[in-house]
Amino acid sequence: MKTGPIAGAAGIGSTLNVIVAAVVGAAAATALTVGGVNAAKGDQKPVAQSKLSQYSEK
Amino acid sequence: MAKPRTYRTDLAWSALLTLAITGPLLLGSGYWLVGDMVFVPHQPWKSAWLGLDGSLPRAVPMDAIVSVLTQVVPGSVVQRAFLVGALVLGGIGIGRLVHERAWYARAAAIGIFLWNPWVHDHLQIGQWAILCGYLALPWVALAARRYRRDVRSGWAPVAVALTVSAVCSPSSGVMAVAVVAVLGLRWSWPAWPVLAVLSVVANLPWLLPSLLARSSTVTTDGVFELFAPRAESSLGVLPSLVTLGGTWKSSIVAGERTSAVVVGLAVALTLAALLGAVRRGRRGPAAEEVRRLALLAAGALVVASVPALGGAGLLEWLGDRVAAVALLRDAHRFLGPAALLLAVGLASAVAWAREQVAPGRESLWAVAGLLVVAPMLLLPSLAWGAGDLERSTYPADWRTVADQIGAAQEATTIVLPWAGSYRTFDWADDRAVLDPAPRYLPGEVLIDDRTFVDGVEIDSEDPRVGDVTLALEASTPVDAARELRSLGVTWVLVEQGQADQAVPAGRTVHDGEDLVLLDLRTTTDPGADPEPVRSATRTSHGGYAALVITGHVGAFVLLIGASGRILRRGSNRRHSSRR
Repeated sequence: MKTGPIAGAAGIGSTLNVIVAAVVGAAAATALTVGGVNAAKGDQKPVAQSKLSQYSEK
Repeated sequence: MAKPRTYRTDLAWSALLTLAITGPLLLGSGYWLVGDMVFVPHQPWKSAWLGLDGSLPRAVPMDAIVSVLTQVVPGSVVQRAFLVGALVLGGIGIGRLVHERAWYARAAAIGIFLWNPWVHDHLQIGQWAILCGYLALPWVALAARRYRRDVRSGWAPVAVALTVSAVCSPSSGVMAVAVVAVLGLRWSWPAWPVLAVLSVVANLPWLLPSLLARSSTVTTDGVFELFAPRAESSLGVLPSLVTLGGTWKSSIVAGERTSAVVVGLAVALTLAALLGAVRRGRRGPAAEEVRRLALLAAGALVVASVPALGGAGLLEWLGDRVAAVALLRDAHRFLGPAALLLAVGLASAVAWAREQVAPGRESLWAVAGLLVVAPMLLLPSLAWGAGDLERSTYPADWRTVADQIGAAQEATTIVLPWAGSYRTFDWADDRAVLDPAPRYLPGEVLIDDRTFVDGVEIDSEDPRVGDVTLALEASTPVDAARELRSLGVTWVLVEQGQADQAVPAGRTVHDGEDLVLLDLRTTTDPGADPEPVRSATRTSHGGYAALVITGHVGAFVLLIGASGRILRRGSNRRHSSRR
């Protein structure tokens, strides 16, 4: 049978777990979504043949 | 000493990450040809590979090593061996640096060291040798650790680490010296002079040709500003730099790095690593090393950020007076050593998160897990060929032309269009790549070595380029051919599909879809000089060639001697442990 303080500690622990899980999940989801979308954009364009090739070009 | 199982785990994780990065290269034939990364099937031997031709030794002696290796195995195999081998060994090395940590903490260290914007950018920019030098840094740090404990037993690993780094590139050699100096030195008598001697001898292969390169000059006008690190996102340049990004070459920046959210999260990851480093640096046997790593990282950040934070003018002023300052032109590469601190710190942070796991706080496992995978989540573009690197295969024209030139006794070739040293070939995915001709073709090959960056022209380093430019500006093709012959040029290679340019008069010996080869030795020009064309080979080193070769021999002897000493000590240790 749980005593009051122990039950309280368990409740705090449970809350902490939820908070940490939410923060970790949000960070991972944000990185995945924003990073993935930007990475998939593929907005790099090939260099036109008609002009000089420059070291600064992809 | 780390257990064998430790190595196996690190090897497996490093190999997995390496496969995730280089997979497309490994799954078929061909080459990654991008930026400065040029491998050819068989790279003919030239004195230039040892820095004997008077040019600036940008890839000395790495070109010599590649040339020798491609006499035995194809260049495509050499490229794969260098990239895969360096990435795997780099991962294992960083694992050894934190060998006392649990596997997941080591995995975090390996992850952030192999999977970060610095690696992405240098792969995309094609600076594979500098990438190899970066991946050697953990081994340099390990050697420095031994050197700090005992100079007598530590000098051999330091000698090997410094020599291997110097082979990769001059800047890698300099970075390795800095790493050993910061991590490995104590205020004791033999440590400083021994390191000074080892540093000089290890770097002689590129140092001597640099000092003796009379015919070539390096320009510093405006280059520090041009190659200064740049902000990738709206957060500015510093957040980019502290997360190992910020290359000057904006066109190759990973798409996600342009997002302030992603860079912001990467800054949070850096902060986590720094907190881990602070915790590790407070107490324990590793505390001093972490403090030294922090000093090293701070120095790297300063060097990398100076040009971006208004110091380009100062560097240019210094460069006008001390030519060696030109080595700092591409400041972003000097950020590499900072990754050592981030790796060690992140391993500590993951270990801390794991220690906090207790009943009611099980979710902290997720924090540890997130820190391990965060480098990959924040830079998905590095996966599978750094985003979009595709394999290329040289058209048959290249082999044909190389054979034709190789069959001639004298060969000085110029490559047209005479418009900078970078090309975009449709067979190479239309990427800007350093002209492969000097490495593919035998004999001396002159290219227009002016570099164009964002429309700004960086002057040529080779005085003969100006002469060829003037010759090509002659009023008629016949006059141009005559001028070129007087400069010693025997062949003209025209790369098709590039910018149009008038071609000198010469006999066409190959007219292919990709390459056209003209022979200037035979001409119908009535005014042509009947005498054979004179040699255009640089002789600037003259009597100094012996000195340059002595430098190579010195570094080689140091490498072999130090390696032998390490092997003997290892063998003796095994024998004594059996007794």
